[in-house]
Amino acid sequence: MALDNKPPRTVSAFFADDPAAADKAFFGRVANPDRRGFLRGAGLATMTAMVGANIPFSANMPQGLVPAAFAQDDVLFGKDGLTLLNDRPVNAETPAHLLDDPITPTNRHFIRNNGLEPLDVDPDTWTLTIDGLVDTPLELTIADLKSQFEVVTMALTIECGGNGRAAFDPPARGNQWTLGAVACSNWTGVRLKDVLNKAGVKDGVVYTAHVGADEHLSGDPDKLPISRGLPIAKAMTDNVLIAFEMNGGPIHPQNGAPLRLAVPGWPGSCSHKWLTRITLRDIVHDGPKMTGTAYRVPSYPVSPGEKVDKKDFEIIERMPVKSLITSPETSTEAGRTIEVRGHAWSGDRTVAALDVSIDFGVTWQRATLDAPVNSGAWQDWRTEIAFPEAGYYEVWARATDSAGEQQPFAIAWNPKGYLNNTMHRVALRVS
Amino acid sequence: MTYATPLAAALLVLTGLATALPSTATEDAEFDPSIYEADEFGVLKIAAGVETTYYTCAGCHSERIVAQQGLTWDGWDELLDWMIEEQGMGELDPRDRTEILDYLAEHYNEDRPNFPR
Repeated sequence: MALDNKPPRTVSAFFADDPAAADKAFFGRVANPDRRGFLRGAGLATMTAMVGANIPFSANMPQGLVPAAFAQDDVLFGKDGLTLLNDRPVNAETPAHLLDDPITPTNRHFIRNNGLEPLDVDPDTWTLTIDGLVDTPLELTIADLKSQFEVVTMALTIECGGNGRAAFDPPARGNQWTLGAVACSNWTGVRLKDVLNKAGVKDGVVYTAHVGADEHLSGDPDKLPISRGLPIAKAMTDNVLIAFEMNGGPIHPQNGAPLRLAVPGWPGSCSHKWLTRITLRDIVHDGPKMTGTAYRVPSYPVSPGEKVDKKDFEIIERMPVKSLITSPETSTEAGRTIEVRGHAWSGDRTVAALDVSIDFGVTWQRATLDAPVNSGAWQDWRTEIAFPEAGYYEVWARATDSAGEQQPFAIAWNPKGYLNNTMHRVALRVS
Repeated sequence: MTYATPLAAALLVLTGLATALPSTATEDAEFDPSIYEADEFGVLKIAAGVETTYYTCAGCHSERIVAQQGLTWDGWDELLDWMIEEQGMGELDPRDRTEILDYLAEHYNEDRPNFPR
């Protein structure tokens, strides 16, 4: 029996060890020489954003003070209303009705970690290495990224490949995500394409390989928790960013601060967090969670529970057409006439139509569907619904994308529980 | 249920015990849940095998990921192989491994009797 039970590292332990370093790492905060306040405002905006209000007495705040708003040792520090699936590594999803905003606030963005998040995430000393099959390897600080490349802000939809896994029967291994491992926040950064072009992409490059600063659960420093990549053509698209800001503020520590990739429409694992290195390779990258059955589905339909040979799995690329109903909340009371609304998305495509049914799919009503605010953003939709009489109803939403593909009713079961894009159903009692 | 005589009832109990003894029921009979705090093993169900399971798994990851799964005995067996072969977990003592697999297959099988939500 293994008795070397390693306690989870906690935020408060980090602050206890070195309050100044912790302040800097978590909030970008530097205190005044009297160890109170925020030297020239360093970190005040971050802390304000994380507690959700201005701090009138901020000048009095001692160095290393963890705001009581963040309960001690709360792994969901700075998040609001998320459902914790796992606390080591941290995995948490957002209930659908809390994803109602067109742009997902930082405190509502889901968390999917494969390893233990790094504790030193100082943006001033962080570097990104670009190497492998490039003409000139680069080592760039975040300041270099900002000064050498065009800085852009885009709303980008990131969805975990296993979102919806909880509905698989027989169950599939992994975190049992229901609906909320998806978000569309504003990401500010530079285009991956621009950085790769500056390094010079050599002939024969097939794939990128991503490395982050998080630590493998086993504690083995030679093991990466995850290292996935992108086909070079995808890496060179305009909406793939190396991001250093989230919603105009710092990236949340659990969402990959201070630097991450944002790759819309592909499994979230492509959007590498705590990014330190991108290597260009002349083979399909074979890092952890690129091989075997990770982030792969069988190349043909299989029956639920079927054993599938490893060689028949293929790497997931774009995520399928999907939608969410973000208002009203499921299992609530409703009046006879209500607005139903939500978001719809389809990886590398746009959504062409969104239909809603209140009679178990017999008839459908077309919703108003907005264009995406930019390539890679989800699309908002809304419609007025009039219920014919009081009683129990289910509102179903069904998106159809620009290639004519539609959300199914039943899950296309696969052994690892990926790509569940079945219709979202919301239960209402109408009075 | 009633029995014609106390002797018949006693015989039935004895027979039942005798057939149960060679199986794993010995451990169950010895397992006393009252010696543990309710949350001593996090969200894991307190039953025979929980202690070995918890300390083996929680060395590297939260027990919450364990409790979310619904796998057959063979499914859990494969998952342990994967942890040993690819994730840096040490080989388990065969008796511990069997105890862990029996516990997991009993309480975290495909019918998900203890799914946390």
